[in-house]
Amino acid sequence: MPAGVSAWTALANVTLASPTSTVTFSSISGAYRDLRVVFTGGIGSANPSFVINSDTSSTYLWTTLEGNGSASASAWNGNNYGSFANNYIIGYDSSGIVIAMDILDYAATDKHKTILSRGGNINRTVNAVINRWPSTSAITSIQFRSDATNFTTGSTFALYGVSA
Amino acid sequence: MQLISTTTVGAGGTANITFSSIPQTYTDLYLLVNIRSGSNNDVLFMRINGDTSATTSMIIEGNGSSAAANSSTTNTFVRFGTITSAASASTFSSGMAYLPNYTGSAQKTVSSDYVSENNGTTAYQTIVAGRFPITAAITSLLISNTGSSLAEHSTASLYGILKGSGGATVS
Repeated sequence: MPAGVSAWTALANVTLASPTSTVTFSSISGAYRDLRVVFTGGIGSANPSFVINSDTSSTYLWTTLEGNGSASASAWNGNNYGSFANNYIIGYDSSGIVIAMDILDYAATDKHKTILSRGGNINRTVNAVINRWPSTSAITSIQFRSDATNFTTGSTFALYGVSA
Repeated sequence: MQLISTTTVGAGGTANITFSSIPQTYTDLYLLVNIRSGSNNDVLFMRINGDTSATTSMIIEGNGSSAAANSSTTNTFVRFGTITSAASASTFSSGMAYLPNYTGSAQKTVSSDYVSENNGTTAYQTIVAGRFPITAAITSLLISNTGSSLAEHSTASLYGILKGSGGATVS
């Protein structure tokens, strides 16, 4: 990468004007190597999740590591969606959550997709989550779901393409 | 992502690394460090705008044999990680910190990962969620440690990230 050339390309960004249950990035270009999603704001529910390419048939698997300020825990789970943040977070907070998600080799057609998330809520927990989407399809859309209670007003989602 | 500034520590080491006069033209900041200290089991930390107000943070740290969860509401800094570099020659630790919306009017949050390296059985991996009680834009960022100086050849690079617009469907 030549000096002065950005390795990250801003692809999309949204700031929520009202409480929102889903945010979708679609028609994602396959021109990059990895994707990064950055979320800031509030999540009112315990199980914020994501779905790739509208796929709710596959079983997403994830492993979590979290600390709540006094105790640490790790767990393994799976469902027909991915874990956006550790579903043990209980992130009931109106603001102050930061989550960075890296999706590696997202456009590859010869491997399942690995998704790494790190983040936390300074009032509750810090966590890391690794997900696997068991598909060799290239990722063209990602939908984030808030579960029972919406993403809060003012929350932001930003999508970047990362070049090799 | 654009490089704002990079620093390499010279001979003799330094007490801290400071990025000042940070341009206000980006949306988020991204910090990458590769650090060695003269002390072992040293705490690496960051401050913004020279402020020493009490911060809030959630920490989880593994040391190769166990994991511990901690929190703080009294530190005058946000912890980055634990350095074990002094235990092994020519060995540096690495970390990253993401500071979103650094020009905004809300209190400033940070998400960081830090890994130390040591030619032994004890090395640390630290994940931190932190908050500085500062509503002003971030104009300076300091990296320092609680032990002896940051060693020669330590590096720190600060990047600015500019968000795009649109491209998302909400419902």
